[in-house]
Amino acid sequence: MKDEGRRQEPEGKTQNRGGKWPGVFHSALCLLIFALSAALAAELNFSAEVDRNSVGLGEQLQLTVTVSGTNIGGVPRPQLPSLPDFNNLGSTSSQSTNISFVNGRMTQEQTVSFIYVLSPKRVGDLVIGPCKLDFKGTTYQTQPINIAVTKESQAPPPQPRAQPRQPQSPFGWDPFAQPRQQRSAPRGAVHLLASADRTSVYQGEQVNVTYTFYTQAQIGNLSMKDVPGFTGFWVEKLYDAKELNYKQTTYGGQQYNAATLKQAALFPTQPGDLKVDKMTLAGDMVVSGGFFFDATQPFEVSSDPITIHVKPLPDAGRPADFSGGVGDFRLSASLSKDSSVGGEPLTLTLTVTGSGNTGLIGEPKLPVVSGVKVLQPEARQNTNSSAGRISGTRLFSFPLIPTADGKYVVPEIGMSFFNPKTASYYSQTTPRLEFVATGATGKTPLSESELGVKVLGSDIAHIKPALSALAARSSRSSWVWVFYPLGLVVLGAGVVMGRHQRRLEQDRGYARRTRSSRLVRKRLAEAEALLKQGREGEFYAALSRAVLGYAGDRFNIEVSGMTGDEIRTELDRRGVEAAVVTRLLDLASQCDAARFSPGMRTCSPRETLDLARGILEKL
Amino acid sequence: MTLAACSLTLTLGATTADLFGRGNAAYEAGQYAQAVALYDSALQTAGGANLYYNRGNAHFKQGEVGRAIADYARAYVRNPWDRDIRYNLAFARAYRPDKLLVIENPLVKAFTGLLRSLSLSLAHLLAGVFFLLAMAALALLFIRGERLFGWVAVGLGVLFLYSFASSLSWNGEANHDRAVVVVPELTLRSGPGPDYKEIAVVHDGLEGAIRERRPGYVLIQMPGGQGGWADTAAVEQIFR
Repeated sequence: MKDEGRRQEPEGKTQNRGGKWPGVFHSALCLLIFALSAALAAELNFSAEVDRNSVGLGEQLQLTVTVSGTNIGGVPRPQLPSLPDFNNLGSTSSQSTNISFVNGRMTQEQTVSFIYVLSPKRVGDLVIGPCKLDFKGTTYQTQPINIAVTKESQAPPPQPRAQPRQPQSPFGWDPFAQPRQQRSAPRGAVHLLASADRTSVYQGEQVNVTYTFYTQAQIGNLSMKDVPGFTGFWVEKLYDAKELNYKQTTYGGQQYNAATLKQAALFPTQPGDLKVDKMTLAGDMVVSGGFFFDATQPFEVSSDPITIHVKPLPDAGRPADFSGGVGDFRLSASLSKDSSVGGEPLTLTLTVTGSGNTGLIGEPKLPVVSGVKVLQPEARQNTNSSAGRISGTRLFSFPLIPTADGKYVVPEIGMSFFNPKTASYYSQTTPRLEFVATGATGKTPLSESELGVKVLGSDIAHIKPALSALAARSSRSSWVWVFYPLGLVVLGAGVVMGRHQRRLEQDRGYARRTRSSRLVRKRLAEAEALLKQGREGEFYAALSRAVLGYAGDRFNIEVSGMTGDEIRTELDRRGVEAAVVTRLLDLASQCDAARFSPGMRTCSPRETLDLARGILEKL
Repeated sequence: MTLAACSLTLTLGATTADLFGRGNAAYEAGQYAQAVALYDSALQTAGGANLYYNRGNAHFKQGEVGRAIADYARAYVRNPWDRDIRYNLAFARAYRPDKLLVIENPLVKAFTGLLRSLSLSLAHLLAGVFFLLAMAALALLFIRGERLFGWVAVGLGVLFLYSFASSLSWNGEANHDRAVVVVPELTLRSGPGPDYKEIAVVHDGLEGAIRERRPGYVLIQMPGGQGGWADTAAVEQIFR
């Protein structure tokens, strides 16, 4: 029974051989000593220290305020000074007690630590003021601490720094321990490093650039703010991180977690000093791990730009068939088939294989093969990367079309490349290739189904076979200008004639007057005709009618029914000369007399006619 | 010298059509210089769009882009409906070494194309004729008073306006001051003499306008305003 009881005791416990009584006595004795010690005056040490005196603006520092001494049970939290220049990101505290017996005396030493994580608000020389502690009627103060705050993040100092006093937990576990982190309290430094495996290369030679991210804190929300563009380079991606895989490394004497973000193979396309752009990362870092606080601090970090010095390819010794390939290449050629039937095209493929700038290799010059049409080649490539070197294949496919039957030989084709390791050019040639064409003559050489319509060029239209029917002038003929004034004249004439027509229709007197000359001439002519015919009586009648009628037309008088006196009056009224009126009437009566009494003629009919004409002219 | 002598003997007693035919034969045989000489002789007696066009082709084949542009422009003014003439003129203009960026307003271009459906001389003649006829119709309206004449006059008036506008639309193209550079490279100077400062270098085919003439030199202005003095022999006036 007793043995069983003993076996049930947990292991590791010191066996209480003396039974219960000695244990109780021991504890009571301790208590007594404790009580006695409590009566003694307490000795207290109060200090404050920081883990570093020089910090960058985005970083944190730790202020450790330690209270230690004997019999300081129940010591209150020390008062922090007002810290206007710092953000208080959190604090922790720990306590430990050390009991020792020296020379029979038991002393107990207690240490209480308060750790504050601070981050500076501005750049400059800042001061952390003294911390105060009131205990048992005594005020204790710490010394003020100077902190120098700079703009850039401080690289961790290479010398080993003084470790703050680590409170040892009596229980065997460290509440501050984090997996994969330092046993010291978390830091805030992050770095982004851009590195190139070479800084001096030839144009077209591969140089690898790697971007690595170093951190000592936990990171969240990482994003790339500036992505490097690599202008002046042909780029082949080697590695782009999808997730960050950290490895522990040392950098600047400090332990960091490092992750590769990006690796690219760059081939410079021009000589000179080319800059590789920087990359900028932004994110949040967890500044204080542990159970109690999880504050995050945003950060931004950039890599330094790298300058690559690119040497131009040497002009001396450059072969004529060098087309831009820099690296280690091999050239080969092949024909898609060795016989062509009916003029169908075949393909000559030149393949360049090797490591280097495969994508930048230019088209080789093909020698002229008489009787074969060579069309524009198609160029393809594929590249792959292994162990950080880019290698691949570039293919040039030339369609060949035989224009006549026979055997054709494609001569050796050469291509030259540049080897950057030996800094010299080297050439490669393909062997001769042969093919036979049958049925090519007389057939249309291009089968469009295979090649598609290719526009080969453009030219002016052909000449005209015949002279043009219109030999037109190139300028305005001058004589056409006459039409314009002529047109205006016609218009004017039309207007005038139109008005005349209106008047003719509306104003009788005007109409008569206008017609008078014509009428009188007609009548005189008729009279003359009568005279010529010898009809003297009618002649006189006509003459009389003409003369009087003219007077009537001119002055709008109805003469037919009027007597001589009435006519005289009317004419006088219209202002005709009296003498003329008299002569007119005399003529009229003379005519009448001659008509009715031919024997009493004073003058011949002809004379009368002339007389009449003279009078009429006077009117 | 021999070529000139040849062309002289050729023109004696030859008709224009004969010279034209022989010029075409020379062109098709690839003898472009001889073709140009034959066309020149033909042009002394007659003109015509096709003759200028063929000579333009011969100039172009010899690489004389400027002279080709001049000839194509002359052919175009005479026969704007011909697609070959328009195409070759545009082709030669695009072919010249001095590439000028001219952004043409498509509306303006369409409008001008519509107006230029009559050649310059025809448009001018028709404008005069329609004007005269319209005035006659108006005159008849005044005389007779019949409304019909009024409508006829309106119709003729519209035709006149169109012809007049068409004639005006040729102003840019057929100006007498238009000229083209006919040498491969021409240095423009700031004054009419070889000692003046060089201010620009232009090339074959560039068109411009002659602003002033001095003995042996002309002041030519390029589209865009740049200009300078050039040797008279280096520049060909398109329309005389």
